Amino acid sequence: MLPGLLILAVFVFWPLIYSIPLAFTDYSVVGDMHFVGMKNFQKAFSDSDFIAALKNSIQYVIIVPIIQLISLAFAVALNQKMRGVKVFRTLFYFPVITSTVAVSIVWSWLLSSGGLINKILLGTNILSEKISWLSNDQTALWVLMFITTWKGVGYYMVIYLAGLQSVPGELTEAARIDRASSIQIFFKILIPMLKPQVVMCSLMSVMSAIKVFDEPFVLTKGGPGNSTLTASLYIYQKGFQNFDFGYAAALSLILSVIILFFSLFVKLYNRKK
Amino acid sequence: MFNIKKKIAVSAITMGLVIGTMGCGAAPSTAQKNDGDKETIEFWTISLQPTFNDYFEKLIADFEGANPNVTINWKDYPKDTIQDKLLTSIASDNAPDVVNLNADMTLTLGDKSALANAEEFISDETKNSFFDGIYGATKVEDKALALPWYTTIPIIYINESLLKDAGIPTENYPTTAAEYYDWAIDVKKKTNLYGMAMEANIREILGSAGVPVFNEDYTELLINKPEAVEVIKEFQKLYADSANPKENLDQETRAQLYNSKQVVSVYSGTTFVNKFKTTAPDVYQNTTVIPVPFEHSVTTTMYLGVPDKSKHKEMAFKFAEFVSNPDNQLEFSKTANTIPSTKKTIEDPYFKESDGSLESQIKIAAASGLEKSKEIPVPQHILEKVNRDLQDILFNDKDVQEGLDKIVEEVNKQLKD
Repeated sequence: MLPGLLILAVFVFWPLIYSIPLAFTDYSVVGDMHFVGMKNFQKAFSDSDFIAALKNSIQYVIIVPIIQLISLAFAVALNQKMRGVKVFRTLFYFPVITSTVAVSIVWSWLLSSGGLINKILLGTNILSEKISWLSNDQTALWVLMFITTWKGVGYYMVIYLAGLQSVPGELTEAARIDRASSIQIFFKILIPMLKPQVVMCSLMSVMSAIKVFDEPFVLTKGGPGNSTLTASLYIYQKGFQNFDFGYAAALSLILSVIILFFSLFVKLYNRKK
Repeated sequence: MFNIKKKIAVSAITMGLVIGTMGCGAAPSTAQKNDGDKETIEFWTISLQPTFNDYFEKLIADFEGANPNVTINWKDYPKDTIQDKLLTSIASDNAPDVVNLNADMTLTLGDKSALANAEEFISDETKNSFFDGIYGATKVEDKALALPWYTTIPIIYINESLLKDAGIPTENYPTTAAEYYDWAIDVKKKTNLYGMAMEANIREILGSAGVPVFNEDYTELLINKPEAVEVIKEFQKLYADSANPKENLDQETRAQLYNSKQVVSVYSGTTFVNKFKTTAPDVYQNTTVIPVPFEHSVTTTMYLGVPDKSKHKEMAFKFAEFVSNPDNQLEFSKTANTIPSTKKTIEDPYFKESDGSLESQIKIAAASGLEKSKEIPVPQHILEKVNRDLQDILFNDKDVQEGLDKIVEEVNKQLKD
């Protein structure tokens, strides 16, 4: 246990703790470090790019209920005894284990103005002219959300599937004998039994949504304008492109507080229910 | 109670080990040890191994032969990791002595005073050997942050078979920016394919057009002047007419569009040919190239910088001068199909000889663009923002003057901070 703890201490806890004092400095790796008090935090709240990035990250939370509902629906569907169910389970899980970069590149081809999606939509007369999905400030963020959902569904589906398979068969059988409908069984038995999984998946999903990085990093670099700039991407750019690690640490702390707030909200909401 | 004590003890041991491990990490430099009078120069390049091992092994042997007390320790890193590696090495006082940087990294590191002033170490002859637009680009407040090395000059690749199919003449290609824009719109109308592929970024659009991007010491962005507004409006029209694709046109995307014959002409560097030579041989056979018809050929240059923390600055600059001298640049151009940054090298007959191949045409077209070459470095922390906001104006048809004023105001505020 100690080696594992040691690795965590060096690579997780130490950087985590060290980022707190760092947020009050102008540390840039290559220059001298000075204490700057609350300057980084004051700068953050007047930084229009960071505010825009935070708004986008919070808007990304919209995908949480969507991704959870789709995952749950797939889990229920794939919990049936039918032929080839294992193949479907594997197929749905496949996007999860595929590299985000590879997935993003393929999606960028599909979504390009001369890509397959435009061809299909034009061919079926759904669109009258091509849309540059990732270059349009009205569609770009929604497209990224869609890709995140597509990639994440399989992960949560597996957790829900495990939860469904641990529900004792006697409960549903007894309900059926009492003439409960499938819908009643789902809402009155399965959902309450899945509560631990729902809470965990919602929490993880909220955290992942707010700190989303890969998709905008690979596909749009945050553009056009600030339309797909997320807080994590902005923090990365400040730290690793501007070498402004002090400011990046301050932004990370603000983001952590926001994630904590959303996580507590999800937890309390589920506890009340 | 016992449990609490036990937990405290485990925590203390863990922290002790952590701190101990950190102490071990701060080992002294291994690359810069002096063994008697012998100096070891650590030389970092970007993505050149193993393709060019033979060239560099000979180059290093020649330098070591002429300087018997010097050993060159050559390391090569991928483009994506070299910056992080350099940062950590500087932070841990383990900086390399000569490092391959692009213009943006040079400017960013220079801004943090992390690079030594080349002008204190190199001769006037060396200074004057480079093209002014390339050497001067990384000079800030009379401080030369790095020596130019090899460069890439943009040219225009044209798929002539697509033009012939649409009955468009394959001679008298555009020689000015205005002619090229009109030509691209005309090509779009006649072929229903994109006429051109230039990325919506500050260098390709504004830099090529000769619009001043920064003031001399890079403290002020200048892209909201009337000439910039005119160029952006011109490009808005190109996007509105679908003459230029509304995409993030990195090299891969350009190659994908060109290989699949969705675009007739592409603005790119001399090595772009490698992206379609084997994957789309029919495109290769029907391609011709012309020099860029713009005010400037905006180069993508590799520089050689010496970190200020190097303990062997004098020898490091001597080696950097050697690597970037006209003779060695000529050899490297022949080996790697790059374009040199030294004036004397480009006078070599090699850059005028043609064996009729596309590669020869590329070499000649690129070399002819060197006279109007200009490197336009943009500090990395504002590069992404400016390009994102430019894309927004161009792709989403925003008000140009208002948009550029906003970019300038926000970026200049950042530059002052």
